[in-house]
Amino acid sequence: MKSNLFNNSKEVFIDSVNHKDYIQLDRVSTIYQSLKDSVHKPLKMILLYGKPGTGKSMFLTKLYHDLSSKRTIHLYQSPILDDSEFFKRLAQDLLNIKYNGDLNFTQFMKILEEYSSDETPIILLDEAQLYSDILMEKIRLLSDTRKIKFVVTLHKTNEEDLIAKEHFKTRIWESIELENASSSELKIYIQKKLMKANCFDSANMFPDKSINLIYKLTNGNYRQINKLLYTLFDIYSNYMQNNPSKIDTNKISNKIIEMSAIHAGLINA
Amino acid sequence: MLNLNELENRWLKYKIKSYIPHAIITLLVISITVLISSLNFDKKETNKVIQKELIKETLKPALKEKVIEKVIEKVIEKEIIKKVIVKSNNTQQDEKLLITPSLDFMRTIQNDSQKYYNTKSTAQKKKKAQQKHLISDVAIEEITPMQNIVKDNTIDIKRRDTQEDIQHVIKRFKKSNNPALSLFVAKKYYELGEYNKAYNYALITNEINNNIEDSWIIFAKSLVKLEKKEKAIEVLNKYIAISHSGRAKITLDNIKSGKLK
Repeated sequence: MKSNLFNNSKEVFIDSVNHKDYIQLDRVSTIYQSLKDSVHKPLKMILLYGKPGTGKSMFLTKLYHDLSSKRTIHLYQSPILDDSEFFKRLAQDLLNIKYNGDLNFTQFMKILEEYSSDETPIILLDEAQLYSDILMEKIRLLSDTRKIKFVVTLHKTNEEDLIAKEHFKTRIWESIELENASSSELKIYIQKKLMKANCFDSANMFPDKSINLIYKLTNGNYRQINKLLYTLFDIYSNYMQNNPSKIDTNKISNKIIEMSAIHAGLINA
Repeated sequence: MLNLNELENRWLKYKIKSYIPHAIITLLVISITVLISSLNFDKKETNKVIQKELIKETLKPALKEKVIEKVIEKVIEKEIIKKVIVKSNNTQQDEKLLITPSLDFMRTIQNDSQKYYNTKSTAQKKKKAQQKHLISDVAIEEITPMQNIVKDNTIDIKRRDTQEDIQHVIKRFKKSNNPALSLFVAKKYYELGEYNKAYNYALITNEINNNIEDSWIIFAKSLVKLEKKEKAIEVLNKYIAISHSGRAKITLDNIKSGKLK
């Protein structure tokens, strides 16, 4: 029974971007609501930025799934680095036109001029830092036409550099920053995530001491938390199968948390 | 697939590694505290030693000062005693000095007077020889009471001032050999009650000039005071016979009647 519990708990923390895995935390919910409101504003471009693993992709996915039924919205989770492919994808998604040959920026602009819609379609661009400056400049020009609204996510490497970029400095009307979870948010995140998957027993195995240690190891980064807890329950599952007397199933052992961190590469041992 | 044994070993190593800095820090802290405490102990010890030394050092000068003070006090006491002794000696010497010059004067004047007499006429020599004989007898007899008076240390300040004045006049007299000065000294000594000195200076004045009335009267009065009444009457009678002095007669009458004692 316990072995199954730990296996199920492990599955909860598989690192995937699924809107169903989105956990409602107070602060995160507020940010998400502000993002949702910004989408309805007449903004040319919205920037969503933060460190890797802070939930940017999850936000976009969640937004996409929340709005897809109500308005024209497209999510580009993987960056399209080729200009022609990017414009061909846009033409297909927005205008429902499929181009077999190349489609350059000028050709696409001509097509876009003929395009008219009651509401501005939204293009969600994840990992926008991978796009070239030229392509980003073309995206800026497209947003200037007010016929497409872009919501872009960026890794926050250096905020000053990011804002200094011409195409963002002049075009971004709304910028939203995502941050790592606090210690209390971390506990809620873990418990909510486990309870969402009906893993109530494992959700109650985390004393504050363990939470603090996890926070210390992951710094509240959601991706790191997922990674650590996945390994943690994997170890528990293994102990349950091979040597169950070595573990206490009532509460998470700090030793196993540390072992998980070692295995996940969070501790250099 | 997880290798739990390997993972446990890695964790053990990690724990040991993680405890090493703590152990080092605790060891360092312990060693530092031990060092500090030992240093403090040493400091305390050294401080105690230094304090003792300081106390000794501070006490030494203090003791030295005390010793010096004591020595100084002793020296001062000695000095004071010496001064007192010297003063007493000086007073004695001074008093003695008061006597000796008078005797010297006596001798010198006698010598001088002898020379003086040699130059004078033989008639005068005879007169003088008679007078001299009389006076010298008296003078020789009067030396002993003078010495007795020296031992009497009852001189007040006024007297000293007068004495200084007298000494000053004596100095002047020695230089000038003026009978007026010696007569003045004789009168002063008579007023002060120093009848021996008054007698001597009256005699000196007479030897310089035997025609001075006052010197004869002071001479006779001094003799009376020195309980030489008969001598005084004799001397005055001789002088009256020569000079027919009225004042000398009055003085003689006073002596005889006992008014002048």
